[in-house]
Amino acid sequence: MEVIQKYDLNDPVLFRNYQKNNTVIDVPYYIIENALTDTQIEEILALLSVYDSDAIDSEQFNNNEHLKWLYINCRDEEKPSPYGITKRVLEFRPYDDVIIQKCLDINKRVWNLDINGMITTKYLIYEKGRYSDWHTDGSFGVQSEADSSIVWRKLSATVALTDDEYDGGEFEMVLSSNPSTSYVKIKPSKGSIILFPPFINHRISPVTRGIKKTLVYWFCGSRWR
Amino acid sequence: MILKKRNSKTFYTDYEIKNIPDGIASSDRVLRYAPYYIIEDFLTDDILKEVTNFTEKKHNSLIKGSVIGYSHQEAEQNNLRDSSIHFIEDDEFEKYNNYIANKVSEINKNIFNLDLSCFMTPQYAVYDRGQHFNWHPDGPFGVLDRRGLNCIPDDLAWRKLSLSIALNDESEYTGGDFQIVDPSANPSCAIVNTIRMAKGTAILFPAFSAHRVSPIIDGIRKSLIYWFCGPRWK
Repeated sequence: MEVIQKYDLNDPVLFRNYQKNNTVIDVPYYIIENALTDTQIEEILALLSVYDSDAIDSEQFNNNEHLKWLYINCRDEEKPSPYGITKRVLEFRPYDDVIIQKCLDINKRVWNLDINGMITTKYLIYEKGRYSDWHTDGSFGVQSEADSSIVWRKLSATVALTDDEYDGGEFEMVLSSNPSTSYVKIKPSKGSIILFPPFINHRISPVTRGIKKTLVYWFCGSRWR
Repeated sequence: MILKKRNSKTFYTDYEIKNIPDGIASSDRVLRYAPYYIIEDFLTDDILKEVTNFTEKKHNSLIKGSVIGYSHQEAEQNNLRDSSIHFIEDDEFEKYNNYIANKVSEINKNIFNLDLSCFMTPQYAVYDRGQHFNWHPDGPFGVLDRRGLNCIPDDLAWRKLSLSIALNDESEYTGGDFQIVDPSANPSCAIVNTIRMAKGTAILFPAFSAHRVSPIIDGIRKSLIYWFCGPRWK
């Protein structure tokens, strides 16, 4: 995992000590290195690349995302999704299981948030020049017609399927400190997973060479409390 | 209690979901994201007067505010914080604490709906010319030790919601803006919302949100701060 730039590493507020022994840091995100082996990544790419040409352009849905995507359903009966195309790839199931289990384990250790479901896995393709502008994956507080039946996104996870294959395309997050200087810019290594709460502002910078491929998971549960 | 409706003069962050993500909500549902919530006239003029009569008497016992893990000297040297504060522990203030906590409890139910169990000793904060409080969250969302484990015990009260009440009017000072990150703004252009509060106005926000008080150019800024706590984020 190469953290290209980590602004304000000495920011005493961001990395303040909660204990005097200098062992505690306040970070909202977590990186699982080597969550998948190179072989597993190769197998996943072989399975999913077949559908690359079916991926649809996100620009037709919003002006924030400039990439291509597909939903990968390896579990349920085929069901329509409101945006984009869902491909049923049953062979992906074992890999899906591994990724989900690793994310849930980390949630238990790090945040222990109430998670009781997830949204269908999304497969993202960033070709040269494509990017995703600053956005959050979900909100924190919701005013007005929010009722208890709404599923809330509680954790986002992004799985890196490529690394040397592209330049640019860094994953950036604004952290909960000085917003003009304290954000992280990460070039994730193949097989790693970045987990973060969906209310964190993040983006993918433009890919300048090659193709970046990721899988995105959203774990859902009861509203924040 | 009827919550005050939003209007264009206030600063509610009010994102209507234009593209409802699949599996999240039906398309006929309008959600308004509320990463923070502003309440005008949170304190009525009468109560505000009583509260400020009380706080004005504390000006001779103000101390310098510090930051967790830092003395106030270190906080000042590192450009973290330079403000004068007083922790209000007087019995005679209890009735105002209860009044405020009840109001927040109602608003929380309607807007954030977080598990809250208590609040910490309120802080009266005074910013004089040149004083400020740099960007900071009031409490963490996740805190890890070197093994990558969340190291705050479950039974500890976590700061969940912060409340800042303006005790004097924004016309009484220049500078001293209250600023809070807009979680979905582009950081390179419009990262923050700047909020100038009329006296009696309050802002309620999750304690992990970064915010600051910019340096006072002239005049004096007075506010009353509460932290509402509960079990860890779920």
